[in-house]
Amino acid sequence: MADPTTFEADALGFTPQLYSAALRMTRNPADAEDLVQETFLKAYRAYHTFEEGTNLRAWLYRILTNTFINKYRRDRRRPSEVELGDVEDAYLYRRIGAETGEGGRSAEDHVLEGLVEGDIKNAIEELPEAFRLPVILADIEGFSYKEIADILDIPIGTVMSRLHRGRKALQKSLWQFARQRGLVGPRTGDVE
Amino acid sequence: MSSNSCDETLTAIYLYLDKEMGRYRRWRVSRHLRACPPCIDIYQFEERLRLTVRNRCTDELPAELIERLRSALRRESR
Repeated sequence: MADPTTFEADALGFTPQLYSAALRMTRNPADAEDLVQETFLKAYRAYHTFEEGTNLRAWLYRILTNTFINKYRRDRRRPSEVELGDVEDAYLYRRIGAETGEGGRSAEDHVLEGLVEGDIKNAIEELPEAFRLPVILADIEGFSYKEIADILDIPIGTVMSRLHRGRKALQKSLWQFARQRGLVGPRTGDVE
Repeated sequence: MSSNSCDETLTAIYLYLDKEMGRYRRWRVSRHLRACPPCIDIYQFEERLRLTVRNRCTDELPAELIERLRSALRRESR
């Protein structure tokens, strides 16, 4: 059982990462701030139920995620209803290779360096929610499959399949941003 | 103890990157990657992409947020 008087000292250090995750979820700074505040208040009230020595960070993300799903979620599509089309594994890598020919390291760097913060954040925020949450938790926050399963209250197999589809969707979207920015495809100036 | 094929390796590449693999399977993938330039190329790209996404998804914390949280928690504890 955790001591409520130490809550501030124990938990507030996680604010920057919780705020970033909240921003990717709600896509709006005012909602993200409210979501973080609500998360901390709920966590504070429930802190006596938190088992000391277990993972406080994962516990806070579980509260954040539940609060988001109950209060802010707009996208209620089930994962099975989301149409991704045919997206192969390592989609981005293969598209860059197909577009620029062999010897692609510099073309790859050009794309990875050229995708600005806004593109990447948008690509994540546009993911259907069922995929967005696992992708945020795994690829940005670095949680394990088991931790994500606990946070989202879904089986590990479901975490894996949603991550798999979510990452494909993310790569597809990043490819579109790369094209819009002219990072790949016919370069202006090369035209005869 | 044959080495993994390219297909097996690519199927397992995200598990490998996520460090969600037992030691033996991990060792098999590592061994294949060391010997196979096309597969290591894909692996390294995926690894760089992951880092790029992670590093560019940070946000500046609103200046007054921590204070706002502190006072909300203090109101709550009264």
